[in-house]
Amino acid sequence: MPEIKVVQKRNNTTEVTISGELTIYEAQSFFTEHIQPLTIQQQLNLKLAKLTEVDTAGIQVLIMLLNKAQELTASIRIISLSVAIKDYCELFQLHHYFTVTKDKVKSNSGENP
Amino acid sequence: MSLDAALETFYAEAKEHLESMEHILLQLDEGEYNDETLNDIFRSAHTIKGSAGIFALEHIVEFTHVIENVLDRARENEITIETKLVNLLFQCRDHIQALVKTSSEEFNDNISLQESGANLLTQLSPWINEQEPSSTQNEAEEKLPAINQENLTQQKCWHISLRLSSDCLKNGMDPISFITFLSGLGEIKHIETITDNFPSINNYDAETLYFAYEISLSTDADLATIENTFMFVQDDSDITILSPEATVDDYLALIDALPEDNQRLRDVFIKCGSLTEQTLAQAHKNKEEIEALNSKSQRDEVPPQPKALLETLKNSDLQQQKSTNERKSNKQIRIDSDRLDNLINLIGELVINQQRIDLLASTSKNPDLLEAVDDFEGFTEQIRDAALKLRMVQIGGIFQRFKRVVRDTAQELNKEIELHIEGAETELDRLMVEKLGDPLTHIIRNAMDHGLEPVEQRVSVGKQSTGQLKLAAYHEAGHVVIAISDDGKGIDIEVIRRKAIEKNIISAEMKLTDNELFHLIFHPGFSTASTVTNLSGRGVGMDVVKRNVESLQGSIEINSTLGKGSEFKIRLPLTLAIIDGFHVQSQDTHFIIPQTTITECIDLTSHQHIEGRHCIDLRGEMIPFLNISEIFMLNGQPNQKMPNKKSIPREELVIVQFGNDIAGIAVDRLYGEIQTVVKPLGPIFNSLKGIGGSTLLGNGDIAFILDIPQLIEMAINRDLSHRHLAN
Amino acid sequence: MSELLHQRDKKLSQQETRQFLTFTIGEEHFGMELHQTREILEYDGVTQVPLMPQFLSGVINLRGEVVPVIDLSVRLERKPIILHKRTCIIIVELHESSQHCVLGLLADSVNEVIEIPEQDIEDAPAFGAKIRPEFILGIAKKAETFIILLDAEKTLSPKELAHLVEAELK
Repeated sequence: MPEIKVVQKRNNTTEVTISGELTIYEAQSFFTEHIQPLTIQQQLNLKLAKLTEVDTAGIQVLIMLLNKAQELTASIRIISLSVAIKDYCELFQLHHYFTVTKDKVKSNSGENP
Repeated sequence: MSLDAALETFYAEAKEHLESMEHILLQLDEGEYNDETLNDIFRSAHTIKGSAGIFALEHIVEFTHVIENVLDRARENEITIETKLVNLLFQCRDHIQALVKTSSEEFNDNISLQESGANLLTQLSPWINEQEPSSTQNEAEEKLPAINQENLTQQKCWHISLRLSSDCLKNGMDPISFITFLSGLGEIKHIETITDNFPSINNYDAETLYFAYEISLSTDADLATIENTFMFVQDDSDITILSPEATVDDYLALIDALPEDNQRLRDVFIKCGSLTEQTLAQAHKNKEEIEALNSKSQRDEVPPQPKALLETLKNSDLQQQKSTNERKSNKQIRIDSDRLDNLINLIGELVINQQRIDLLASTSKNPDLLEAVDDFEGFTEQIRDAALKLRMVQIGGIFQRFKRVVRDTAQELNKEIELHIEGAETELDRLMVEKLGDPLTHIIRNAMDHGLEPVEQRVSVGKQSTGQLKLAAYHEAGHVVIAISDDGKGIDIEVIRRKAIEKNIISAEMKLTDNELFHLIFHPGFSTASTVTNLSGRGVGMDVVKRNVESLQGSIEINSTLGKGSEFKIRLPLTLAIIDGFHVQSQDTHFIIPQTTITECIDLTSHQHIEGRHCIDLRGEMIPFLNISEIFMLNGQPNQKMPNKKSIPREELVIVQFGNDIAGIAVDRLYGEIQTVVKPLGPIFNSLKGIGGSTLLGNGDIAFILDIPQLIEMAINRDLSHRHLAN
Repeated sequence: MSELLHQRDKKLSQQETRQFLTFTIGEEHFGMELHQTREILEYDGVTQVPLMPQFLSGVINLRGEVVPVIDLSVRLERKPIILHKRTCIIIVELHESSQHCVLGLLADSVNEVIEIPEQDIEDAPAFGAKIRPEFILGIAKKAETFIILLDAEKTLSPKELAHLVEAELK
């Protein structure tokens, strides 16, 4: 089961860190337990550097998360991406969904992608 | 298609490709090849690798990938086909075969398989492209003109529109595999992952595939190869492949057919490079013109032909593709062999029931009913024959295998041997073909080992240096005959006699015919070769061959001329499932004698029973016979000490023949011809000699099918041992 | 998923009870796991197969299938069963190495299906049952009678039966 860490920050930011494997085997329960009930504030920060394995079902769940944020008109910032996601995006040319958001201001999190 | 079913298909396909690789390697070995041949073998390796990738069978992919590279270099004439390489490729092919038979988990535990793979790759290293950079350089060079071409003309790209089955993730197939496979065929110019079909968050199911794909692929591969990528999902998916020659109208038709918004798709197609703004605009203009023409012609009250014409043109390419697909699938379909066996079993039941109806109708004496039943019988027979034909396969498949065996064995023995194959198209029940492999291998190895002489010896007796081995199949009197003949030294009858006496199989004084002597080599433990090689010999000998053949209701015959060569003839029934039989009774037990073995039925008491022997005089010929009730102890009180004195000759004698052997079978009662469905008695009864199976009679009673070859042998041996004792 | 279900089933069966079909041969009570039995037929004669050892009574036509019938009494080294009005044939289905095998067993009478809690199945005594210990799955007690629970796969192993037939034919 992938691990998810949600930090609701005071500055209207929801920071979500997903790590581990997110594949067809975990996708459904992960979605219903974590993504569906997730509260998203005005800003969604996604840290995906430690997502070691991802397949199509996993990517779909992530896109669903982005869709949800978009519906709530939250602005999305992808802080970091793992090699697994980058590889997937390379194959399916999905960069428009998953690209590390380049900031003018340095990200507060201080994480190295 | 479920994952299991898809895997099943993968294994079947891989087997075919491996067979074809072997076939081609044999051609390479003989120096009979051209560019097409090299292409074919490359493609086989490539397909195995690709399909294995779809199922994430990494152990297969990894190894086969290297082989594919070597074969690719061969077809590009970068390396030359030399004996050493071919020998190695044979081993690599075998290794792939072993890998295919091994699951990933098994492979991880199987150190020896891993080692042998690594070992093969090391040996292959002289032919592997050592410098990866140079290969990329090659690729770059190759691609250059293509890019130029693209600049000059329209992009030479296939367009693939994928709406995969929404269950495909659940079934264990991830689009990753397909896209990876496609990128192996060429270059994916563009792939658009369409996410329009995502539901609202409350209706979302994480195991459903929502992505749709529009792909533009630049490749030399043909339609069939591209189609094959989706072989495992095509059942519930919508896949459209447009060739590089497809017209704007084809694309427009596709856009209309797809569920997504048309404007959105147009944008996607433009992104893919499959369409351009200009061509689209042009197409619109054309359309408008034609529509204008239409309305004009309508005004002129001329039938609106042009529009219809346009529609046909628009769809022609799509339709053409569709029809090639259909044609392809019409030609051959794969059926699970269990389903086929089940069908044949059911038809067996039909045949039995038909006989029961026959029986009832004949007692009713209603002429209309009798006629109807008669017609019914005709159709039943036709259905039976048609169904049995479904299970018939050409024997060529198994013959092909021996090319390899002969090649390897000849190398091992350091002999020159040429294999000739005749009648490869002869058909035989699939179940039998599967069981023929071992006995044939044994006879063929025997012939190469003991029959065919080394080169010097052949030359010294004036024979051509290359030994000739022939494998032939043909039909003969309701049987299939497989003949294995060689022009070697032949079987020395005297050696057999000496050996048989030595081993106490026969007594020194016994007079045996040549045929009887030849048959002694089937005696358990008999081996004529003085040195035991690792090919044939080693305890298991011709007796096992004979037993295998007999388990298929067949027989073996030997002809041999000293110094000229030998011939082994295996005679087999056409099918094992349903046979025409002759219903007889002995005591209270019912038996069936296969019709094809019967030559005549005679009244036993009117023929002279030869004193002291189990023989009768039939028109001057000595025919050994046996009594069914005696041999199966049906009267319960057998007297084994003096069987021939005690046994009262039965009234009816059925004369049966198998190969060259004739014998009589004495029974109490003859009933007549009957179609019988063979019901195997199962493994418990394997050691029961003389009975090959069972069948059900019209009234539901069980009858036993006599194994005539075994019974004839029993009759001959009994008479023989009796003579032996008498002498 | 199916594997999970399978594991769950396994767990359930471990916690709960096992069902046995009980029958008598002579004075003795036997049980065989219910899932291995398919149906019970009235004895209506068998077709004897020539030269077979005594434990192999013959074959019957079971809706088009030719099924061997075993005299379990002989197989368990007792006297052959004496045929009478109530004699019946229990059809059992075994799965040996992916091959399924259907056999008939002669029994004097079939009693009932009983449920035995796993913990009430006792190990076979080392001696006293006069049956080869590997044939016995365990012993259960029901209303003061002992029921010998047979291991059908061992008792009726087609391989071993084939060996016995082969030995007889020699």
